[in-house]
Amino acid sequence: MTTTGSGDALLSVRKIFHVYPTLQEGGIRRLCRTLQEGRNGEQTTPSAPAIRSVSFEVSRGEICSIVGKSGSGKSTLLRVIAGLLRPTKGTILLDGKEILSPSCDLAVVFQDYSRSLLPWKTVAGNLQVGLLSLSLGKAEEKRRIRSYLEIVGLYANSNKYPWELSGGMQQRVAMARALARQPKVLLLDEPFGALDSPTRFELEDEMLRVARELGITVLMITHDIDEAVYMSDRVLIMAQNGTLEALPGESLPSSVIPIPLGERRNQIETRADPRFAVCRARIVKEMHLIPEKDVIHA
Amino acid sequence: MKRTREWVRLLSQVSGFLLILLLLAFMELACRKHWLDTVYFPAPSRIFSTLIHGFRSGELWKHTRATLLRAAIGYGLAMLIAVPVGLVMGGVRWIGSLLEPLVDLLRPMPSAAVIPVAILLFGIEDRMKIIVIIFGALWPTIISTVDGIRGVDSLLIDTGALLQLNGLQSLLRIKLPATLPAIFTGMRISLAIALILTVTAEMIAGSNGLGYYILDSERSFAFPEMFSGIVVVGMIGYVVSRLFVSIDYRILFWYYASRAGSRGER
Repeated sequence: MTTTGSGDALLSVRKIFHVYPTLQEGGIRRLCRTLQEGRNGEQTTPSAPAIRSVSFEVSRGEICSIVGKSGSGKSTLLRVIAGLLRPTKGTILLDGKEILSPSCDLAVVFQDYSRSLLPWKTVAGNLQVGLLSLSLGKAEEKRRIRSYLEIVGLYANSNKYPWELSGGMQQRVAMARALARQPKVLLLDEPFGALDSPTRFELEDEMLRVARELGITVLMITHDIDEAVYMSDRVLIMAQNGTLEALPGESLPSSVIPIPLGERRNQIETRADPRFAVCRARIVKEMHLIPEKDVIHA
Repeated sequence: MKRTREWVRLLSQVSGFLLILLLLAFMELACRKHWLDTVYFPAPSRIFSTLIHGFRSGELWKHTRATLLRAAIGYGLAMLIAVPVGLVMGGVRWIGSLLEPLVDLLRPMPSAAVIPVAILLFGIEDRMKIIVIIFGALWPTIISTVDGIRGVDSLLIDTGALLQLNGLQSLLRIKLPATLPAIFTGMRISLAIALILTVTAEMIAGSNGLGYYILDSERSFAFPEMFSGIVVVGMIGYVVSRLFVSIDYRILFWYYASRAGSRGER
């Protein structure tokens, strides 16, 4: 392995550039695509790249968030890192191995639990489908399903169907399904965005506890700044034009905001901590959410 | 007050059946009072006794069995073809593009119109009838399956990919169950068409089955027999569709429950 990664980086994203394919192709392929698009009524005009240049690293055991406004290319980036989409250029290394397709070392929890859980399977059945590709054998499969449902506190609901559970519980099932695969990296896509705020607080803490307990590396992609600050050791800001340059150079790039709040956090004290407010303010400023003239300098 | 309300509710629940009873009673009255020509329109009581007699003598039973067997074989074979064809057409893009124009061309053709061609090619016996049933019952299920598999939520497919399911696992564990509600909708329409075509084909050619029995009775002026055949066909249609609905609910409980849940009706 060439030493493209530095230090203890588990996930290393290098110079990702992605443009969705357009009609700039020749011959039969172009004809096919034209026919297809005519049929589906969709149209792709030559588009600007969804991601211009993204480079960053996530260390082992770190909880890292990427924030950005909608339209900044976050979703595309998530699909690329998950291995669902090949980037036009650039590489992603997970523990030194390049990600070209979905891998057992990386699991994803989506925002929309009601669409990502299988409604025809019970809670335990959903976890079991998640373990299929690992070919674990019956006994180990059963043991894992039990232990991960216990971790998220849903073992008593093993035989229920997802639609019999509340939103928060469904998202816990999705979390358990992802964790049961024992991935090295957990990728979260706005994981608590569809939940009401009490449930949201509860699940944020649950996620933090589980991640620290299992020593899992977490990369969360979100537009919620408060949540990013509360959950993370480090927040990376993706610019509106699809750029995120966060490799440590001579000086720390302004798009990297370290969150010095320690490992133990709770909804009342952490959020009331002055450092929380400072981090939050830095991110808001860096994201240009309010015009420069309105920023009151203390 | 409360009692009246309960009565009204009970009445509205059974009102459909009451209406049928009322119509039958009216027909009976019309026949007894000779408002209708009882030669052509025998009284419901007369039809009912002919029906019982027909089953006792075994004559009606023989024809019913022939019709049911034919419809079942034709429908079963049609479904065995339609579901896999639909899945492949919807799942593999180039096969879909290849077959779709053909399906669009053949589908709107009234299936009864192919009976003469089928007689030319396959004779007048069971083979022809079953082929006609298959031809008619195929389309709704194919179309519905194609639409169903194309409409599977992309997030569900992504989930399968992220869980590293292989092609077959992804089909059996994700795409097929997610398509099942659409497949069942198509199968239900196909079932009605299969029954219609069975009776129609029997009327045009052959020597047994309820279609034959109805037409033969009419031609020999045995009108009570004719009506009793019609009643049996109607009953078969009713029972079979009820049966289908109950199987549908049993298999797709998760679909109805999760749909009701997402509309907040739980």
